[in-house]
Amino acid sequence: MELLAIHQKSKDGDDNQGPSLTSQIRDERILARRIRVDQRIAQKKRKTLGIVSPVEDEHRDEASLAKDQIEQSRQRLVKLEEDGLEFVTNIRVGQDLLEHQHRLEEEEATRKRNERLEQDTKSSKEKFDEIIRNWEGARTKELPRELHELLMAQKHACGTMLEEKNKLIGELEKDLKNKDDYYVKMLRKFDENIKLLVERMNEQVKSRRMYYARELHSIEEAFIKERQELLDKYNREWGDKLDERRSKEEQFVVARFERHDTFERDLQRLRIKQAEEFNATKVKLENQVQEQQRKIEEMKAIYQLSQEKYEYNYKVLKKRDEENLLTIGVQKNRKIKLNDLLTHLNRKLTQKEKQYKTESIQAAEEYKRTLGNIQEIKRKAKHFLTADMEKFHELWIMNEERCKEMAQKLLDADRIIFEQQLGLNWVPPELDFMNNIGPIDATRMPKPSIDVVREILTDQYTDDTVKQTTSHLSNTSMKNILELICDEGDFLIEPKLLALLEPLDSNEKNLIKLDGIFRALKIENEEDIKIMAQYFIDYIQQKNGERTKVYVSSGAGPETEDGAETDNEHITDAGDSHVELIHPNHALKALREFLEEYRGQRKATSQVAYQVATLDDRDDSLDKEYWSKYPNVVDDKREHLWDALLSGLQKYHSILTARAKLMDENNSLAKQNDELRLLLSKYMQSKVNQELQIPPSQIIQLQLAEQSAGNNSGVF
Amino acid sequence: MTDEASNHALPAATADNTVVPPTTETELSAEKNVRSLTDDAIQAEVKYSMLNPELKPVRRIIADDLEWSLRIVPPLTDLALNSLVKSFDTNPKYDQLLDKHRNQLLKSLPTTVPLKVTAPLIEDETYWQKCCKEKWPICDIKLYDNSWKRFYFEKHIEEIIENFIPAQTDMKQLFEYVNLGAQYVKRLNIQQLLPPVEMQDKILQNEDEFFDDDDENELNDGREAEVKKPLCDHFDFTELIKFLPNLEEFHLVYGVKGCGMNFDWNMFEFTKKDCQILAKCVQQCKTLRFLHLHRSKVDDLRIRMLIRDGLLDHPTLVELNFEHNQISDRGCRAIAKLLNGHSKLRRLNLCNNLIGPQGAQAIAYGITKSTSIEYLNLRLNRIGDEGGQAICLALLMNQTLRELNLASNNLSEPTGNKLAEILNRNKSLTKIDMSANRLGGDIGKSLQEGLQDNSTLLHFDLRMTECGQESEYIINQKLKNNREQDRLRRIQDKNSHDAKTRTYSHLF
Repeated sequence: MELLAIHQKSKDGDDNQGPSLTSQIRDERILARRIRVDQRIAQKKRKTLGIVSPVEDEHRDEASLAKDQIEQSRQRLVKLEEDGLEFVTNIRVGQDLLEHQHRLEEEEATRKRNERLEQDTKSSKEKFDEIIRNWEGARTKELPRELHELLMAQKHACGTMLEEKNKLIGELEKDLKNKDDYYVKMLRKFDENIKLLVERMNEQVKSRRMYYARELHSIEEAFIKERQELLDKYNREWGDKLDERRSKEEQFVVARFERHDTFERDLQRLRIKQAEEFNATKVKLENQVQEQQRKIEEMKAIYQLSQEKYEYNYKVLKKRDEENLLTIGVQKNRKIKLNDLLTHLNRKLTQKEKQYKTESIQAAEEYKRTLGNIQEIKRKAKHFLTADMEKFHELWIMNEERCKEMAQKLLDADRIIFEQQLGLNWVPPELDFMNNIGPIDATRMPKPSIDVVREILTDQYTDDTVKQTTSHLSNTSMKNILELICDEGDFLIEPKLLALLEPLDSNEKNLIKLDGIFRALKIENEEDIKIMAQYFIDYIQQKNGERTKVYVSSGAGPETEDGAETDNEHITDAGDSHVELIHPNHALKALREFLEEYRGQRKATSQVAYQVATLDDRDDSLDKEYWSKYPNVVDDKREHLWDALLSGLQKYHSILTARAKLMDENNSLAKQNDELRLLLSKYMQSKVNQELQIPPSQIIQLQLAEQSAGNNSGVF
Repeated sequence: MTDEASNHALPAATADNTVVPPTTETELSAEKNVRSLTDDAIQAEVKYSMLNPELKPVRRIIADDLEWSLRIVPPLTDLALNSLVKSFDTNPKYDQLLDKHRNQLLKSLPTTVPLKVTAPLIEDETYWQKCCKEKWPICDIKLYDNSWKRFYFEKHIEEIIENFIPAQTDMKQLFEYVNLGAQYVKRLNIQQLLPPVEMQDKILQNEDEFFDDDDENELNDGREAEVKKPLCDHFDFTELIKFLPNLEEFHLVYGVKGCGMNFDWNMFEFTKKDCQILAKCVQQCKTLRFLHLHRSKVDDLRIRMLIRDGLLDHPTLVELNFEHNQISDRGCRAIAKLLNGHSKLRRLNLCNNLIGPQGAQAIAYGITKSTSIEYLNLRLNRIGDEGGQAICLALLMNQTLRELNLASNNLSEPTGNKLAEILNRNKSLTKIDMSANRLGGDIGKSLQEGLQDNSTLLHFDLRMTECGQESEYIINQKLKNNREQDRLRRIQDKNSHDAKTRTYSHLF
């Protein structure tokens, strides 16, 4: 139980604790000193650490009285408490000790008792054994007397044993009784103790209450006293301060008066001085004023003059100003008008711009549409053209067929007439033109290059027509050129292909190689080949100068002429002798040149690519000739022959018809005859002949016989 | 009926001229008891009229109604509350009321209202205070968490159990209370348990057999128990414990209080069956923290049974108190086992038992192993120097024990020497009681020396140890010093704690 509430107020409670120095006991004094030393050391330590000590010190200085009182009270109360507690618990401790001693005694007593009992049992057992043994001896005894004696002795022994036992029991009972007494005593003692305890507790409560009250009172007193002291102290301080202030104020007032006087004196002096100065300056200033006034007069006169001048000027200027104002007004009006116009025009302009914009958009759309239409029409035209061409072609073929048919008929008729009627050998007229099929086209499509090459390489001796048309160079030279290209232009062919070509025949190999090269160079038709060949030769010409040119030009002519003739070998020889091919080393250069130029041409030509072959463009000069050939299949000589034959035949025909008529008459008469015969036979064989006396048949027969006798016997 | 009255002497009375009481002598005498209040008024009136005789008496109209009274008609709320109070046992209305009305109702509610109604409904302490004060004029409410309701129920249940005679008293009443107030019961402090009546008779008949009970022949005991005892020896707690969910403290005495001259040994029997039942109860009750079993003749066998069946590895048990029993060395071994990691025991009181040196050694071993024990009381035992030395050695290992009581244990110098040695090293002990042991003056000196460096010990009781005045005095001074420092430390802790909290509060 500690007075924490109070203790909290006093942090520093180490003072005045424990035994006082003024104690009467020596030990206590020593102890007190020791404690004091300890405390001082501790305080020093705390100071060196410098934690809370300064604050604590201040606190102690300020309110030491009350704190001291509290601390003292606390000490006292704690002491009281501890003492009281000890005082009360002393009973318990004492009782404990008593109990302890009692237990010790009890242990001892029980031990002794047990020992005694053991001893007793031992001795009694011995005695009992002896008695038993005596009983054994009794059997040997035979005399009654002896037996009696023994019996008596035994009885005596038993009696003594019992006596001992009884004694023991009595003792134990006595012990028990003692114990009971002791118990009762103890109970009483306990009761007393408890009473004492209660009494002490009550006492403690009372005393504590009292002490608490007293301490509280003293603490309160201490507080009051402290407060009083503090009040006194502060009051005194207040008084001192007030006195000080009063004296200071008095001093201040005196000093102030003094200062006031000196200031006044100074002021007076300054005033006089000021007045003098003022007068002097006043005079000076007045003089100045007069002078200035004079100057002003002068200036005024000048001003008057200039004012008049200015006024005149002003009037003039005002006039001008008015005029200007007028003109400004007019200008302004004009400006406004022009502005209006400008805005109007601007508006118009914007309007127009807008309009034109829309129009241009419309026109653009129109243009687009018409462009579309044109495209459409073109497409249609193309379509119609092709259709017309087809129709024309068909018509042509139809007519041709009809003509051919008719011509054939004519020829057949002619042949029959000749062979059958005239019995002459018929020779057919010239009929080559009839091999033609379709419309005759003057322009020929160029042959694809590869075909040309093939022709050149393979059929150089057979095909005359080609040679004639294609080249003005000889075939052999052409072949040479091609072989040259073939050899030099290997790099243009894919290496794979070369590998594949290895096993083939040299001609075929060249052909395929050339195909590849031409494809790479984009040489597509015969014309191109020709142009290329030209380059090769041109190159030579450039190299060899005019001489070669002449060669070529002269060479070209005879070549074609020779080509028309039959002897090819000769011509080629001649061509070779004339045309010198470039050195293989220059072949590539020639090729490159060709490509550059040729490409340029190509570009130029490709722009005119959109073309349709029309009927109008077609050359119909040959048509008339062609068609006129048909009526001339049979010539005039034969026609005359045919006329003569016709008349002859007609005559013959008439004779034949007359003969035919006569034959018909003959036939009908024969028929009549037959019919009449039949009728006759019928009559003859009818029944009437038998019925009648005179059969008509007989008569007839007679008649007939009469008649037949005359004509023929054929009736029977 | 008229009467004179001063007009302006009683302005209030004249203002509402209806409220004028009858004043004739006859009526006064007749209705004196009933209308004491009106009497006063009349007397005042008369007094005033006497004072002012010149004033003429004025005629006044007095109501005919004899029942009339000056008392103001009570408000409707009061009337309603009164009727509510009257019909409270049949039709209780409490929660629906306003707070002020509720308080008024509780003030006027009698304590005779059945508990069945009030227990679940009323939480207000004033009502329960009223109930308690009526039954028990002296009550220390501080021991009951300042809850009157808890006090009421605990006291009731304790009373019923204390007066319970097995196989005779009806359990119904008890369970009525238990059902109503089980949640409020935290402690049961049972001062006595009555033995069954029939058993008493039977035991009286064949006393010899009864004494055989104490023998360790279990077979015999069991058979005879079947024959003799109908249910159990004392009150059976198993049923009760189930219904108490908040029970924390359990104080028991298997004995009769105040038997006076009717003393009989069998009144103070703690039989095996009781022991079994108690062990089972303790094991079942998982909230129990304090178990006190006083003056019940608990011997080794029973304490072993109790520990084996009930206390071992109990999850919450903190305090064990076996004062004034007959536990000796074997029982102590069981307790040591309990200390040795099989419990959370903090306080152990074995005051006034029969513990000898071996038992003390066992307990010392238990202390060295325990990490929670704070208080050990072995007062009034016979542990002797051997046991005392063992315990002193154990204190070297243990750093949790704060209070040790070895008073009157037949200790002497060797133990004192050991204690003086350990006082230097142990930093946890704050209180030692060595009183009533014969230690001797030399020991006093060595203890004094041992204490020089110890700053944790606050109390050291050396009364009746013959240590010598001087050393005892020095030791006391040293202890005083320690106490003073401890106090300062605590104040500082508190201040620093306050400062800490303050700074935290300032921060957040």
